[in-house]
Amino acid sequence: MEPNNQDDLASRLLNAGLQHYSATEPQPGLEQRLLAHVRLEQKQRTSVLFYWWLVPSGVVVLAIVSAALFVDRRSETVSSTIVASSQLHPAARPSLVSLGPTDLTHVAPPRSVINPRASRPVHSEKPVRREPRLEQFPSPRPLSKEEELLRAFVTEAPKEELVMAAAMTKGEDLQIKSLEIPSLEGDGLVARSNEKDH
Amino acid sequence: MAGRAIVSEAIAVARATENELELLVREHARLVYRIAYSVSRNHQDAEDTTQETFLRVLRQRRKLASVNDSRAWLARIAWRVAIQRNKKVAAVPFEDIGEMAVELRSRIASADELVLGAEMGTLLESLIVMLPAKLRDPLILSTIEELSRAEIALMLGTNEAAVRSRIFRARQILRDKLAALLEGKHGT
Repeated sequence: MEPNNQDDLASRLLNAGLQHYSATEPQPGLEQRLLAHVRLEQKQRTSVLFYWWLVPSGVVVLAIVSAALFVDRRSETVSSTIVASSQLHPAARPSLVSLGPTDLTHVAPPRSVINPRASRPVHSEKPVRREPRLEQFPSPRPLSKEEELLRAFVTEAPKEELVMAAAMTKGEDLQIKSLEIPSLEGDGLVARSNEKDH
Repeated sequence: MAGRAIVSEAIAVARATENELELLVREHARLVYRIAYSVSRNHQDAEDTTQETFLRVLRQRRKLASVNDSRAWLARIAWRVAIQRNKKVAAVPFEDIGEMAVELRSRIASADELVLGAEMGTLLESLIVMLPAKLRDPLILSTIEELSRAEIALMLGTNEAAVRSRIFRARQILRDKLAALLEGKHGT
């Protein structure tokens, strides 16, 4: 072939080739596939966004629950410390008993008793076993030796002696009047004794 | 309450974007596919590139409202995605190109007419791959009939005159090489 024809042929080939170079059609259903893909991605992104909103909410709830647990545990530790201190120091027990339940928080336990590392309280709050209440108080018991002697004295001694004893125990002074001995049969007895002398 | 408002607003924006994105898919899916195919020369890769392009648009949906020419914007994204996915273009050895040219020349000589089959397409692809990127990119984009020279310039970040000049030079190189191959001087 001649050079001009060669150039002409090359130009025609090139133009035709470039014209068809990108002239292609996508496979059928491309739009539907793309839309389905995009919708799926959109749905996932929306759900992820929703879950991202849930994360701070969960953190807030967790913080509230943690704070509540911390406060509860702290109050529990304080009450157990008070009970433990009363058990370790019996001298302090009467003062605690005399106080009301609201006053317990105001009682400052000894510093040596508080153990800050003790996270869990020792099982110190054992239930107190209550004995059945008796009908008679105080409960009947056998009399002692002194009490037996006292009872015998009371039953056998005359009334005057009892009065004197009672007065002595009360610390009162003895009255002459109470010790006065009544006269025997009046003045006749005195007259008779005078006659015998004579 | 504030969290719910933010989420509902985001969902509303997402739905609006979804509608807009569907519109983009329906209008420009073919253009995006052709851009992808011009680079990859493979239908499956072109479809994957098209999908990835629209997913990128979805990720950058906040920009969608501020875009004036959504078609050019979409074409630019598609071009970048296609180039990234096809960085390693397999170069055809020159000896193979020579064999293809001989076969093509025999057909033309016998039929005295252009029979543009698979051989011509493969030969042209091989010659285009051998061009420098500066000339190759505008030439490839110019083969897509939907794109104007101005849009190509916008996509490549240059001006229209430069695009015209580069396309002309690329075609001249291709024509010379093709003429040499047809003459049987492919060794030079």
